[in-house]
Amino acid sequence: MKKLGFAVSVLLAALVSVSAQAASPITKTFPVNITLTSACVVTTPPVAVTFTYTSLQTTSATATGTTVGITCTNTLPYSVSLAPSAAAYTITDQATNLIYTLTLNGAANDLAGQVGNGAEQIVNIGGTMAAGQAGTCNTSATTCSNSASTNLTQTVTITY
Amino acid sequence: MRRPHCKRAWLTVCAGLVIGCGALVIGCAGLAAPALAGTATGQFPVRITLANPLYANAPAGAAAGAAATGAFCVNQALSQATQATVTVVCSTNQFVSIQPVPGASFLGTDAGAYRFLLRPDVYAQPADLTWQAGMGTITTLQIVRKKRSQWEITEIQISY
Repeated sequence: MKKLGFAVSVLLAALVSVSAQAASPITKTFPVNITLTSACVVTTPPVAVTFTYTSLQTTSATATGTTVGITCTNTLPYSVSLAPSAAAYTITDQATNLIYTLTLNGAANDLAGQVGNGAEQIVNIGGTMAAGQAGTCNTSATTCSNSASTNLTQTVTITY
Repeated sequence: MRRPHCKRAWLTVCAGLVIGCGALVIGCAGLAAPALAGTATGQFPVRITLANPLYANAPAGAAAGAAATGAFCVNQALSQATQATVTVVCSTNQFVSIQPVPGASFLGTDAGAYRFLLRPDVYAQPADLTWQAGMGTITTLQIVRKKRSQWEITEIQISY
């Protein structure tokens, strides 16, 4: 009988011990480390800038412009420019020998001080061509095109 | 007893170096962060259509695509001063004529009309200007009649 009483006491003590352990859990904290690399991406590429010009026309010509969609990391500063970067981006087309100037958002080249917001931001690419240019068009066709020009393709660069 | 002590000293030195190197790397990383700027680019064509002014000025109803046969060109450097009109046939690249504006003369560019000396025994040939010719004088007709051993000449001049 004494032995039985002792066994019951031991069992109760064990139960009390288990219950006491469940009431005070062990916790462990750990960090979630995140490395965010900032970036800008051209999410909507520009299509084309198009000029229509008549030789020696008396008024300047304005191009049908295009847009470029840029998405940058939120608060990331960036700038947009037409390569090569210059205050005024003026090019002489190799095929038609016409001189034109490209602009960003209607102003000069090199759009500095932009700040990303995580959403797509639009920059307008336009162009003007001064009056009084003769150009080169040595065929008897109705029009001449610069489709074979060696400097037909231009580049817009986003620096961040 | 000395060797463990020595090992501990080396460990201390190495630990110091590791901490120093780590600090250096962190410092360098901090300095290098702005240099990690990236770029994104987008390319686009600049299309130019140069209209042929011959077609732009073609009369209404002209056949589309017909070859141009002529153009009216003005030398802006001289025409305003001389009142000269230069007409060129473009289809053959042939120079056709230079003539004054109707009712006007070339001003300040020549000494007057050339005189062609007509004689019965030779073909008409240009001659130097004489005082008879004068400014703007054109000899158009010379009638020569032989009377015995004498030449009787009747000259008709048109002056402007």
